[in-house]
Amino acid sequence: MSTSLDRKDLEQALKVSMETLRTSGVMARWASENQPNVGVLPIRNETSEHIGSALDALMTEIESQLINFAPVRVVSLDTQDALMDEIRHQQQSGFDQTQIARWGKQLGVRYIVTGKVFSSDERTEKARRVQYYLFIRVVSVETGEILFQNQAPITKAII
Amino acid sequence: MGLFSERRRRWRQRHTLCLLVGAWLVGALGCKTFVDSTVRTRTALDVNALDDALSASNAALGVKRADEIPAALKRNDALLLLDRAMVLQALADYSASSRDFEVADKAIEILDFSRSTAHEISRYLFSDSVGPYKARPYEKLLLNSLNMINYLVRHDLEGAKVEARRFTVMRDYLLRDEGDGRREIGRADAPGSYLAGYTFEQAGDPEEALRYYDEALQSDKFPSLAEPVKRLMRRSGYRTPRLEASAQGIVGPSPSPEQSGDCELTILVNYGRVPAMVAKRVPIGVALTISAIFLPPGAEQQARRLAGQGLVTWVNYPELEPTRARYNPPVITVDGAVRPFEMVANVDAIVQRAWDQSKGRVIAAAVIRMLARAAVGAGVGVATGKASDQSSLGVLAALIAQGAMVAADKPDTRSWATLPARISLVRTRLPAGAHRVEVNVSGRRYVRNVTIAPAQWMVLNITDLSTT
Repeated sequence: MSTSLDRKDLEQALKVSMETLRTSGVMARWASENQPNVGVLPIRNETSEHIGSALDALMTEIESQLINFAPVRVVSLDTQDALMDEIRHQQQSGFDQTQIARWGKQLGVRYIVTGKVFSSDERTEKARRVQYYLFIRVVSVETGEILFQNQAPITKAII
Repeated sequence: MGLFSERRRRWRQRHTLCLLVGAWLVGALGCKTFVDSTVRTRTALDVNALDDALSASNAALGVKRADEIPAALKRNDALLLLDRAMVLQALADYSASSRDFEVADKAIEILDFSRSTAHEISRYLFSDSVGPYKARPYEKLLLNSLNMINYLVRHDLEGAKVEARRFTVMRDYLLRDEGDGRREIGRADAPGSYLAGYTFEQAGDPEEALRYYDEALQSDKFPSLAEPVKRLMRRSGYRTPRLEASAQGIVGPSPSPEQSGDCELTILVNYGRVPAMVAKRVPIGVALTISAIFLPPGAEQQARRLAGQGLVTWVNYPELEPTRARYNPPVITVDGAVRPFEMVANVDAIVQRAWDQSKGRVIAAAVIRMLARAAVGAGVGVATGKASDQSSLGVLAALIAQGAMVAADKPDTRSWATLPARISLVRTRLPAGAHRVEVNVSGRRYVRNVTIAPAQWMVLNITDLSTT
């Protein structure tokens, strides 16, 4: 009985998003481009829960799934600590296309997978209900075009 | 047969009386309240013996070490975790303090929605301390506010933002009935709004920062906000009359730290400690004077009738201790120069105000419990009298039954008694580099040597919960 998000909740929501990605048009585009490089940025936390470490694990899971089913080469941020720090810092205020383009070029990727978890909180005298959303987006580094976007809901409540 | 029945009847009388006297003795002997279980922690904090306070906190929680949390949280463990969180903050163990705050926060949320019929009956007959602890509105708001400090000191804006959001969820809920809600929380939201604004300012989100600063300005003027508000208003279209008024005194555009290469240092000083709740007994007449307006129709007359018959004389209830001491304001110097500080929250006043608002209702609840016990006692008396065929035995049984219940009536002295009495801050821009900070508070000197890079920010915290 809790309004917290745990890893299982996030993995379930990610499963929904990745299934949708698998059947989306961006797969065909990637297939036609001979394994383009793709980078996965840290997932932003915009909720009222401390889920930082779960989101780090989610980022790794996205990379793993892309490696396993997508016709892409995944470039990891793991070895680029300074860039990772800069991205995390910039993420705090959201980030714009100019930044994505710059990071994409620094990483040497053509596409970026980004995401965030946000929530809508409702509290009454007898209950608290939180609706979470895992939001995943695929963006072209060169044009800024959004090629894929999906929002998977997770509902938690104490009644 | 007749002789056997007579012997059995006498045996039942003696048995009943023994049970009642036994119950009275047990009740009389077991009258410790929550505040008694935390006296060691608070006594150690009085003289700033932080290691002793931590040891006492751990003992109260039933654990050996500060990194342990009880496997299953019992009734008052959430409160005990809040106590330990403050001790850990005073010890500058901000990570551990955050952990305790967060576990307590979750537990308090679940307790908020937990009330069983058994609890309600027990509360009605015995004491409010039987049921799960319902944190007071100011406690809920200050929990997230103080935990924000833990994250800001560690330069963890993500964590601070989460606490800011949790603070907002609670604040929005408490203020849902605008008039009553604001009366209920008073100024308890000021520190949380200020720190949330600071968090989003440093995170580069001017809109959110201004929104929170505007909330803070609803409680007080906060001169330290004038310059940041002016800077943020250049980057955001968010405007309110309060924000405009705050920024009015600043002449000319002030460069941001990124532009000037300066750094920003914020020193948060939490000092003193709010009073605890203690068990008190007052004559029934005094209790009725204070609480009459909150009693249901007929209850006051019933209570006066019972008092006239000598059946009830005292009422037990929790009372807020007087404020422990006057607190001399801290003296804060940076590189030898005294910096003016700003009072973000007078938590003593917040606690006192909340108590003044609820005192009448709390005493009224104690009077109603007394009436319920009298009814139960009367029932026991009638039953005993009938069974023994001696009305005098019935009266004695009624008095003993009531006495046992009075003795078992433990006033609910639960409260977050390790909250700091004052929260104050200094906010200053400095040239980048090394700086020496001295905070003189509560008769003690705290020295910190810090080095801040250009265009960076830093938050220092000193928490001194002593009262001597």
